[in-house]
Amino acid sequence: MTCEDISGLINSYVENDLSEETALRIEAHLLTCRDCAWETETLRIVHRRLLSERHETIASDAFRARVLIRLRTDNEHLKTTEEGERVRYQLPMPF
Amino acid sequence: MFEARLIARFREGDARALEILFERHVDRAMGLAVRLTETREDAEEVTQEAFLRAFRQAHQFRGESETFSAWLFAIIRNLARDRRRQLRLPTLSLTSPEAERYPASNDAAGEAEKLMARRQLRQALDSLPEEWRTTLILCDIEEASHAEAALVLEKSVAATKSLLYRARRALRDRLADWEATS
Repeated sequence: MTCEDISGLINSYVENDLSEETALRIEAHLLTCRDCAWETETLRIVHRRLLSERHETIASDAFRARVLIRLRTDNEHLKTTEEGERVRYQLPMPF
Repeated sequence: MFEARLIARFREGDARALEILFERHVDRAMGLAVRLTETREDAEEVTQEAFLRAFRQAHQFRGESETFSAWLFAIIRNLARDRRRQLRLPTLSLTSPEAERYPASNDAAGEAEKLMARRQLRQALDSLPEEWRTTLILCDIEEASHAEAALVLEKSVAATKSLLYRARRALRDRLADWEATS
């Protein structure tokens, strides 16, 4: 595997999105090429730092209810049920 | 495809279909909006407007070739960009108010270090061009697939991967510059 091959696969490598065989071939190259090893490891660090920012945002119940009401009024073609129900919003199951 | 069927049901007047689509996507939509705008209030306004537009334009949804989330994300990106232009705000806020409320730990020094690292990352991201920043937020923070991100960015998947590579390198270089000067 060449340095050029590595640059084409580096995204997938840092995302662990390659077959084991391809990853092993890349790693064999990294053991012999300091430039590619540096490039790969620094990009892996950046990827990890961004991943660490990942946290689930939960829209509040009040917001959900408000937007659903707005969506219902904005889409007058929607049929109401026999009870003439308004927006039915229930909390999801406990996390 | 399930989402295309839900859209079809919505167009036929099924309110439940709208609710299901909304519930499936509201948290991720809000997550992206929080990162692309300055305040939680802005994020809520952008998210609400994005859903309104998405359902108003439901007839344009191409279920076979795009996901509802990619479609929604593209609207959110445009709304957030417009809002920043109007307000002349230079940047997004990666560290949202809620991100600042991360669970506190007894390790005050460790927490301070983490907060500093997060601020540094935010500043580095803020310094990138909008397209690179959005690519990193979509792919590395919001878990969008390359295909989804490509739809949001209006690029091919190959071009999106290339953009992601350049954006990660640019972010690395910004962070390295700060490390070197601090």
